[in-house]
Amino acid sequence: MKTFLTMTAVVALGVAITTAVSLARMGTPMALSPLSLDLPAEPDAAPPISQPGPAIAADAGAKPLAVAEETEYDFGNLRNKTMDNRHTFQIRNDGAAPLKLTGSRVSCDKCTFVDFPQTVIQPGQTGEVVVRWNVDTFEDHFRQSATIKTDDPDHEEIRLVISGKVVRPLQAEPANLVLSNVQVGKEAQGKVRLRAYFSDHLEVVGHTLTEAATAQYFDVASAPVHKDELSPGVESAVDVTVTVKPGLPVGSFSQTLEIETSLADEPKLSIPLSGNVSGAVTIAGKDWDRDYNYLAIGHVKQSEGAKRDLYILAHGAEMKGLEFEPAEIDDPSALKVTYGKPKEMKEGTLVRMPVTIEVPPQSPLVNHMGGKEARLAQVVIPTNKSALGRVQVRVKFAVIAD
Amino acid sequence: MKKPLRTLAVVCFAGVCLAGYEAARPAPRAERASAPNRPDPVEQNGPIFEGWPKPKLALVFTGEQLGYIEPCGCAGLENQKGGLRRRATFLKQLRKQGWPVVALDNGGLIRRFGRQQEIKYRRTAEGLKLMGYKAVGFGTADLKLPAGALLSAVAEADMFVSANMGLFELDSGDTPRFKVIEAGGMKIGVTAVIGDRFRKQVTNEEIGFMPAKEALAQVVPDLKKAKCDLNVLLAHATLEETTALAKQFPIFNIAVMAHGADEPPHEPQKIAGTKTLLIEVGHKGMYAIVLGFFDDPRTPMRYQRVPLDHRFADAPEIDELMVAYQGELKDLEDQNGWEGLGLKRAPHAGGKFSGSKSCADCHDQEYAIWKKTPHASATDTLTHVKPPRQFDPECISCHVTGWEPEKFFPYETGYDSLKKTPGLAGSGCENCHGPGAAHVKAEEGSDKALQKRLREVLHQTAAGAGKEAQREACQRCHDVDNSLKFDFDTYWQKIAH
Repeated sequence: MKTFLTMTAVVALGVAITTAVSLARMGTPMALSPLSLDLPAEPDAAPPISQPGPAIAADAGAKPLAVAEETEYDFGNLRNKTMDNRHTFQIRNDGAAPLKLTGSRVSCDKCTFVDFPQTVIQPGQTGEVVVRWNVDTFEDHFRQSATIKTDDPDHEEIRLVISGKVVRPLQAEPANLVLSNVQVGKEAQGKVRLRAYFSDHLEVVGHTLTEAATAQYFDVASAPVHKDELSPGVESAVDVTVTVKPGLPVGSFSQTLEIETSLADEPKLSIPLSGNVSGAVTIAGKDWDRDYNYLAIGHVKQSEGAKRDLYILAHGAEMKGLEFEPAEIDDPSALKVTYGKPKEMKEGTLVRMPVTIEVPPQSPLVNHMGGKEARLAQVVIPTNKSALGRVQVRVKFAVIAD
Repeated sequence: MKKPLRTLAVVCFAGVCLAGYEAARPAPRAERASAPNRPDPVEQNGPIFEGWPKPKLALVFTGEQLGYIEPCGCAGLENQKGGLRRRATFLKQLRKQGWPVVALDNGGLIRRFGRQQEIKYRRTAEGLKLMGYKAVGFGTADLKLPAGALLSAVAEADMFVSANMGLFELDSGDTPRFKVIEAGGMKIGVTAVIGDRFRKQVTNEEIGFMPAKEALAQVVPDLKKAKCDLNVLLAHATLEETTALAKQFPIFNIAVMAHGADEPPHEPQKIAGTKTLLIEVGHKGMYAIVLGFFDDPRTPMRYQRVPLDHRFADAPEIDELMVAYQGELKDLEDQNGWEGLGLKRAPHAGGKFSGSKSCADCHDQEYAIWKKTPHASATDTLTHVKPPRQFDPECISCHVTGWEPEKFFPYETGYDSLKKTPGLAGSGCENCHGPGAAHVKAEEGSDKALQKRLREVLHQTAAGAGKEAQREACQRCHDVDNSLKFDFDTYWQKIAH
């Protein structure tokens, strides 16, 4: 018993000493994970750095006290591509010992810079920190920061934030025009608004469509925007309407519209145009290749099988009442087709039919990956609409041994 | 004590001390950076959750990923933030610590249009689903995709929500208009809108829309009936619109806006004249914003801006997703070339490309210099990363010869594949100087005037152009996303010829 108690005391003492040593070594909680989750709240945290600190009594121990009355600055509107926009912040030392500015970091190495020529600020003195920002961004708003490191133990870092709004002499909204769903044989229109922020006489003086092969299918017209419709800060604007005319083939299309304007600073603007021309029937779903019209399931392990959910979308008022008849499958040993419930949408001008294409588990080993020896499997879905006829779904897959 | 026992006691004592010390010793700073000279992310971007106890609820906000499924840019990962891998690890860590986490995204998963973007949208949605997101809104570019492509993503996950948008028609039922989420003993009501200014930028007949204000007027009564502890508005809308909606519908405790600054603020702010907290998430998925809720009347809520830097390792499940994504691009390219990805070759104003080797016949010294630069092995770089990226137009466009680097499409006679056009691998001479086929042909002929003119054209693109023009030409690929430390004067010295 005595021995046991002695051993227990020895172990307890060892643990106590070890814990004390380790706690003493722990500084800023780094932890093995980046999250310091179990630290208690600190009700006596240092006062906000934007307010002056309390006067330091001579017998409190000489230490610096960094005070920054202003830590955020809004530049307001800044013209894009302007360099060296700068603001001077001030850091005052309200302490009794010299304050050292020991380093800095910025949120954006490429665009934000910080200078502080005075690295030691004497008690009662003020040092300047200049934050500079080069404007070169696609975005409308910016916010960046410069963090200054000090030897004030209560304010080891002071963060200075700059922000503002970026304006460009000429801005297109949207910057690229997408006509997502152009029905084959029909027209579609999209609009781009050109906004001038520093000129009150924006005009479109000319335009070019760079892809000569399809230029004939696009019409471009422009009209000035009335000043009552201008957003704040915009001095003049023009609406450019792009019409896609019938004739483009089914599939994706792209063009570039180059606009010449009356602005001396921004004579030309390039606007990408893109979109899709869809037929009366479109099919959507994972692994559906819209441009080449097949379902690319790929290699399927025999024990696992595979399933894909497709949606057949039939457009047009004549599709109201659409029904699908049982599918004709050229390889029923390895493919199964089931229909969901059709849904009429857009006031009957669109019917959406869910279709599941399945390669059941334990299907025989087959190869429908394409080529002469292994042509794609065919699924034909008869419908009751002569306008739609029979919907063909090709399936590219192969069942392989596990 | 007897001698053996005394010895045993000493040994035990020493053993306990040693074991305890090793267990409690904090990892040295250098161990956090896994390679020599790797910057310390905490030093670089600041610590997080300092002083935080475990919250009873943590709302994690993200948004405006804008297609950056990997850290903003793909080079110099220690300097970049964001990416789905790190985000997944971050969320996992919170959950592992026992935090009740509700992840919400304000939409804007992609930035552009086209086949690759449809695939990226779907794969990103898969990633968000793996991460356990509870509510995801829609951004402007998201809604420009064909509704069928959106449906594929939406149907696979029940996290999408929108009050004022429906696929094919407003009330298609594919996405709920609001959601009530329960976590941490609290009920959180969430709805999402696309703001009117951004809605007007979408020309898509397959999407049904309603003005945001009108939609919220219909949804808010339902949220009130649900009697949630918190109500969140995911507004893919400007600051002005978000502010107006928050004022009009004071039920919302939190409103997330879109198209603010690249960097979110370090502190939260209330919308003036309301009690609604405004959240900005920044761009490119570089940050997550966490609101922690506590049973502490002094500090009932805390705010943390979380930089998704390399303190967060890559999540293996998202690694698999990235491999699948690149594999999908590869399969499409294998089957049908770049057209399989919806890309159409366009003519280059300067004519046809001929490959850097054809320049070597006359410009052997310049060619030899080029061969030793990273430009020459730029395509190789893509084949060696994990997963390989030589089938990804967004990567290839700067890593081969004869592609438009900012619009990600090939020029006619530009690079096709390593097999078909090996001479156009690498970022070759013609990427800077312009297509050289006409010049090569002219030099083989006898038309001196033509030779002179074409020499001047190609020479002007490089040495003859002003420094600013040269810098801009370089920055078409060496942009802030992909080449953070680019400085023309420094980099030029490495390739000067």
